[in-house]
Amino acid sequence: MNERLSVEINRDSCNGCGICVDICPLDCLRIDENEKAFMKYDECWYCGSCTIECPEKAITLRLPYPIRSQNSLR
Amino acid sequence: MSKKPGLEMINTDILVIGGGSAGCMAAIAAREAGPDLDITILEKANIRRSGTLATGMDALNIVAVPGGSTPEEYVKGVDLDHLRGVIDEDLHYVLAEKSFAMLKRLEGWGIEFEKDATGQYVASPTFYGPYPGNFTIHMDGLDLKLILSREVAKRKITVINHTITTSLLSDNNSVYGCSGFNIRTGKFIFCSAKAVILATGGCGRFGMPSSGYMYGTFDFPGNTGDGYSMAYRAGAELRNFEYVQNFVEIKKLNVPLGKEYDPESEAKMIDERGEEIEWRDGWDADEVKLLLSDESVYERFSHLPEEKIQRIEHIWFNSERKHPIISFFRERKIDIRKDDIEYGFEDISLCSGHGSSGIKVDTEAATTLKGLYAAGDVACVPVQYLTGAFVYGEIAGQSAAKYAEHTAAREIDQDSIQKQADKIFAQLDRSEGIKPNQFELRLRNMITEFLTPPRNAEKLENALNLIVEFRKDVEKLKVEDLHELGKAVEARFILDCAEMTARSALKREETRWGKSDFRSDFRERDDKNWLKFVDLKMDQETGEMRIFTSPVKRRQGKGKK
Repeated sequence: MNERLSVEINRDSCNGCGICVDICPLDCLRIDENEKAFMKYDECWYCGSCTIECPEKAITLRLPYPIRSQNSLR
Repeated sequence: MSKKPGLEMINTDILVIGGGSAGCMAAIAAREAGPDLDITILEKANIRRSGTLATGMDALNIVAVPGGSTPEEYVKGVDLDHLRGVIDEDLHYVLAEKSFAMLKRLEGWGIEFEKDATGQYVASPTFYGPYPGNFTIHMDGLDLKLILSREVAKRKITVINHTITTSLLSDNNSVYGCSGFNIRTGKFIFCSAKAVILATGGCGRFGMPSSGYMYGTFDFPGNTGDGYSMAYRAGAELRNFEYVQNFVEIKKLNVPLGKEYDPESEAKMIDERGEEIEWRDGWDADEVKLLLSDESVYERFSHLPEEKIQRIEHIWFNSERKHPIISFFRERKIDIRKDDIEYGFEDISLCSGHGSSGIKVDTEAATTLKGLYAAGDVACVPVQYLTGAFVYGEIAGQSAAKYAEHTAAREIDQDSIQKQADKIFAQLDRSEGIKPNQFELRLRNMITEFLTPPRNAEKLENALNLIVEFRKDVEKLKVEDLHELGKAVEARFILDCAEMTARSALKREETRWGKSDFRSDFRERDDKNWLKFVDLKMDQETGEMRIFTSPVKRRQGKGKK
């Protein structure tokens, strides 16, 4: 999946701790089967909470364009 | 998955719904007023980073520093600048009167406010118009939400995260709890409380942003009119729903003007021909002209000295919207030293923080229902900003504590809760139906098309006809998981809000607030007939929305001086 999403998670540095999943105010994130965080719902307000809270600094925020028509990404 | 929800009962003395700025302050104040009370906060996300303030705020916009600006000046300014005669003055007076003590409380928790070399607070204008009084004090508030949640944690207050409230429990004009479910575990909760404080914010997901991105809104999109809808259904009176929040924002970014953050920046506004346009009174003629045209305007900074550029950048990059702003400037390669920024009207929302709509409250933060208090963007304290959420959050906590002292807990009928839970969770079982995001997209496109000023009777009647259809479709929602189930609940809240705005706007046959209520069929302000509030409530027998007017309220005993 290579669409550009607003929450970009570096899979090499993500340690799967789940802090971002827990604190995202819009409940956008989840942990996948490889224990890495991913953006499950394209519903980000780019508030930046995840980027601040990530202990590994693995998250980058981008403007969410191009946008997607589906809420659920996978 | 098994879709039969398990029930979990919670008993508490004071229930706070929503753990944002107002909710945290309410819980803290309730604890101070009632050391032995059991206090519970239900929070839709995680209290550490929830609500509009997840990553901070740059200023308190209403602070009457003793020896500086006065509450009287504040009341006058907010009336002339924003409310234009349709005002309950006591609400604003109390807000300003208690504002400085609130600043000191926050300072005590470690927030730094801007001071000059002599140690005086630096206050700048809050109003657009030339009215006396400087009420905005900048602060280093990026960690504000962390601090609030820390202060809550210190006080033995129960916080239940990831729980969306679906309705208030009420009868005979009195509220005694709520129901809802955990969006992670699927557990359906019902809560019995002696007093309930609603602090759920406004309705950020209302109009559609022109970007087409459902969450690219001006206001926090996690707030979907939850409290407006739940209080309405319980029978509370609401007010000012014809007044939509409608701002000139950065195109496709939905962040306010630089001038909004720093009115003294001396940035210029220019039109499409590159000519400077007058843009003094942010709420008046210039903006209505823009609303009625389809032209763009630009904010220009390039003539400013580096020092002033850096000040505006500093404020912008440290505001509550700093992350999108920084991304925007970086990714679009925009440098305000040479580039103009394009603005337009992007999306409407409902919120008393910068707008005016809300649940009707008095100076005790009491709603028209017994046992129900409201504070923050959900309560009708117009243009109250963050200061209002804190001050009225504090008052709501104190009032609720007092009320809880002499109120007995109520029994809850578990069968009716189970029925409610089954009805909501049935949306997970449907084999076919409408996806909540599809429904919401259409609903919000309708809101943009028919409820965004300029409006007229025909448009509003059209909206009401469509709302009848939306009410049928909302019964057919089908969801895949608990996250989407939350969206289905929110879609109903947004739908109720749409009807409130459509009916209230139809009632007010004048234009009072320009871009927030412009009626193309009644273009003038009409003080003879409309110097009054438009209120609404649900008729508890028929379930229909009743619209009525109420008189404005001037402060008792003022004007002696």
